[in-house]
Amino acid sequence: MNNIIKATKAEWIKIKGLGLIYTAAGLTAISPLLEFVIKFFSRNIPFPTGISISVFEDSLTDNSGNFAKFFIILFIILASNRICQIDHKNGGWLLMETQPVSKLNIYLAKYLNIVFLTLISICFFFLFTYAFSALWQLTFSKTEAVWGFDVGLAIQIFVKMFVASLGISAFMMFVSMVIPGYIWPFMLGILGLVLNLLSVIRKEFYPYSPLHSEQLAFDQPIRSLNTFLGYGEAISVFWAIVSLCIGYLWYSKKSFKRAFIFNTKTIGRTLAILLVFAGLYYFIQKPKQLKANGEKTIISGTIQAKELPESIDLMDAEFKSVIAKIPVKDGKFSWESKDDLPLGMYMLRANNNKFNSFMVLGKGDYYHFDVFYNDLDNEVFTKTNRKAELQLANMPFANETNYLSQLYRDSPEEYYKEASKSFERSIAKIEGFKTAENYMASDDFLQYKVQNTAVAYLSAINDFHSKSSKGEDKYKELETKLKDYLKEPTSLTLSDPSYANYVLKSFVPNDSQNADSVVISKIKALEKGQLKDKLLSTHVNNLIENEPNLVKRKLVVNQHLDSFTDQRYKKALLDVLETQKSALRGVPFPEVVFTNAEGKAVTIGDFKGKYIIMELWSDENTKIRPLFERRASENRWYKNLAFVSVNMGRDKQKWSSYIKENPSADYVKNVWLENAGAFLENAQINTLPRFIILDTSGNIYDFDSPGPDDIRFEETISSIASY
Amino acid sequence: MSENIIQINDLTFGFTPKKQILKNISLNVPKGSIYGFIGANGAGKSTTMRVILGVYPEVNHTVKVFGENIDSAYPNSFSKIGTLIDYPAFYDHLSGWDNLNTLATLRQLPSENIEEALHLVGMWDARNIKMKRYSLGMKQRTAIAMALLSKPELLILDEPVNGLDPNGMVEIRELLVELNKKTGTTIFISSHLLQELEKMVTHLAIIADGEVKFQGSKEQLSSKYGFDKVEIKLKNASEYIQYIDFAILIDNSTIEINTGDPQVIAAINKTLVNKGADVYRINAVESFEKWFMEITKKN
Repeated sequence: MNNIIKATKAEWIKIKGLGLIYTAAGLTAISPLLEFVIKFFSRNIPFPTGISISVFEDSLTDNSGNFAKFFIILFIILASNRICQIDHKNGGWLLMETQPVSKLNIYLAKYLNIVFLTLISICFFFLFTYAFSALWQLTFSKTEAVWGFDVGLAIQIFVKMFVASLGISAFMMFVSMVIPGYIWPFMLGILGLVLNLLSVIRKEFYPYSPLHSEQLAFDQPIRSLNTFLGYGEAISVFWAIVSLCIGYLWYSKKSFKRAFIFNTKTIGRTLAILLVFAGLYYFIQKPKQLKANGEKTIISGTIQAKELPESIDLMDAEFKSVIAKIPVKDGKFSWESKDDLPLGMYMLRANNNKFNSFMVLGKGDYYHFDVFYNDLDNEVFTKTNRKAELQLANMPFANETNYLSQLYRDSPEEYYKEASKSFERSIAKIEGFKTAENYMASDDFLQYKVQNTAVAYLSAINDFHSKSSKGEDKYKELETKLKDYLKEPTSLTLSDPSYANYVLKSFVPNDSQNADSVVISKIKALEKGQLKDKLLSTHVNNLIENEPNLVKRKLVVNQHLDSFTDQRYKKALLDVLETQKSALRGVPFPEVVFTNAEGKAVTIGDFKGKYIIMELWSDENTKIRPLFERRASENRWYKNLAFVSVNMGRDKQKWSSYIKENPSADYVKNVWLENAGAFLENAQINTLPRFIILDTSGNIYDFDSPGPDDIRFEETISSIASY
Repeated sequence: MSENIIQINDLTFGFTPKKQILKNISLNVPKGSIYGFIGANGAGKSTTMRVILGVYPEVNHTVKVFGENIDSAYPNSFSKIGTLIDYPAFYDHLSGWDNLNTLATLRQLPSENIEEALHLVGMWDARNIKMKRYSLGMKQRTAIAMALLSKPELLILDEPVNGLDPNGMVEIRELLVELNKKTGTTIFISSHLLQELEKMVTHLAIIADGEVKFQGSKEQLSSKYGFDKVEIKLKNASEYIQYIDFAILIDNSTIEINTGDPQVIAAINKTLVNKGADVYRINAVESFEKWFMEITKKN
């Protein structure tokens, strides 16, 4: 021990004058400094994004990913290279090896110095992050300061960064030790960084790269991690042991041959080491299927916000029905159940509509949520045994079909051939999918996802086939192959709208005459059960979605209400009808003429073909306006949406001055309504602001839409928006 | 029988089995000696020294230091050894002081040792200057200071005066001799500068082409290969060689004769003068250098 300490001290003296501490400080300051500069130049934007968890934590969580995935690795590459170079030059190794310390101590001392320098760089990172975030808050920030400090989170980030760096340090030292030049170790390090970048683009993980551990450790938000330390850290420790062991053997013998294949003894040792490491690697990288708790399904969470909801609703995502109301007490909620919850899609929604969260849930699963929100935004961090399912559920695997249909527009045979290959790649991806925490989805969910993807490919090739009848053989071949996956649809597949729509489409006759009645008769001919209910429900929903007349909508629904076996489908349809009724959907909007800032007349007809999201506001209540602008900004790429801000004040001049002082971006049309009082009275609108959505024909879509501070606002937008 | 600090018994070494760099080398370095290890460049001096220091692997247990096989002796025995191998090893981004401080930390020595070593080699004033700014001579002195730092029992120095000016060479030579006399430090020193070692060593070994041609004391070398020679410089030497028995014509102005007898030399001189030769100079050619040349030439 004494020897390793004195060797480490001597190595520390040797790095004097190399500028490594300054390099650490410089590299660690870049990310927080950049954040400060970006905030400075965007300080006048009227709707700052993000929620203020706390001044320090906001900045820490924003910057820790950049630092861990790039800057800390770059620093280790530079530091290990510099530290080994000083001994490659001028006979340093010989000098050290003729001192009363063992080669093992020399090797470990160098490694410990790199580790210690990394530790210093992490300390610098925390220092700069905290300093710049405090400086921002005290100088230019316009948001209310929250100075809270989550020590546990800071410690977790610190420890994760450090442990995930151990393997990188050991590997880079090994490389810098065996390759005497400066360029090649540096290039190898950069290659590792490029590989990390590629993993982000391709949404894949490369645990076989020793420089990938920070990427794995910081892929997910820290608050969402199931464990304090995880897969990235385990991979890092693995690479640290491998690199130290192989690096030391190589260094001590000064030759690969003498270290590993010199004689029978060394060959035997090499094989034993390889065997142990291969076994260890296999064990570490083998993805884990997290098991459910057992009998109890558990949902718990914490909420940090100024105004807390009274309760949280656990809802069935398919039927939008409330399964449980979970009371919130002192910012905490907790729910347990022994009920037989079928595996499916569920939703957690605050009763004040400030946040919601999607869930894949079944009996015995656990979920823990940490929720933060304000008027502008919300952040929900989820810990659960269904991590892999949650991520997989939101991942599309049939994206290539669009590109392929464009590329092989004139050669259908090639299209079907490539689509088949693409499908196989997608299936391989699904079956090999694992999260950054190394979790994989349960078998039943994987089966669902494969079927869901087969449906997407079937829909795509059917679309293509409807445009070109060429390549019939290849089409049939691929169709049969895809349909094979759907011979036994799982319960999750049966509840999936895309599967229902695919089946419904196959029911539509070619001549398309009496299509509706043919489809209905085909549905009714099916055996009673989940498939029949789902198809009928989806079909009726499609019909009323396209029917502007409330009475006709009601008629359609009533016609089929008694055909459902599962009464939840019936109730869901009635709920949809009720929602549409209270939203006055399909009712014509009164003809009004607005005036814009230039004094020109603007009518509803000017926005024909677009959904109009209308904000009615008064001079007395302007608080929510920035938020409306922010939502408009977030959705500005949708071509079928128009955001219109209507001032209902009496004084046009006052409004004119206001919008000059508070100009809107192009994506919000500012208009003023003359005689607004009469309009409000006729429409029985008593309070402002009020949000109204009109459909593409200018009829009412929702006469009392949730505002932009309500989570349902975004849900509505995403249900109508298209490019 | 005197104790040997370094013992090498039949050492053979090569980086590949087919090409041996050192062949059956045996050496004994007595305690308290200044042992000169002499050979031309590429003869195997540095390789031998590196094997002795365990830098190159030696698997047959043919080398002992302080009476112990090197694989078990190191690294602990390095606390008693000071080294300077080949080109001086140092960290040029550090000052002279920090270079010595690195080794002092490893050897757990007080800073007084650094001060003393720097004063000894005359580098005290330049101690805070980075070594990359040092001249070659300054680097060499600092490297010697690094070897002397721990006041070792054994100094292994490979060409330690390379790069020094003549005064510097004399200074270092005197320093080493003084160290040897005062503290009994055994010095194993190599050089191809034969004149430099000739004046300071008590023992020596001569190596050529990986083989030791001789080892022993200076006196043993002289008695073994000790034939005296006289070199006569004269005009038209080829004309006069017929008058002298056993003479060797080196060139047209040089004749060499194997004798150390002054009367024979006087008689030859008289004969040559009588025959009309213009004799410019008569000098003895016995020297360490000549011995070295002879020994290496024979093989």
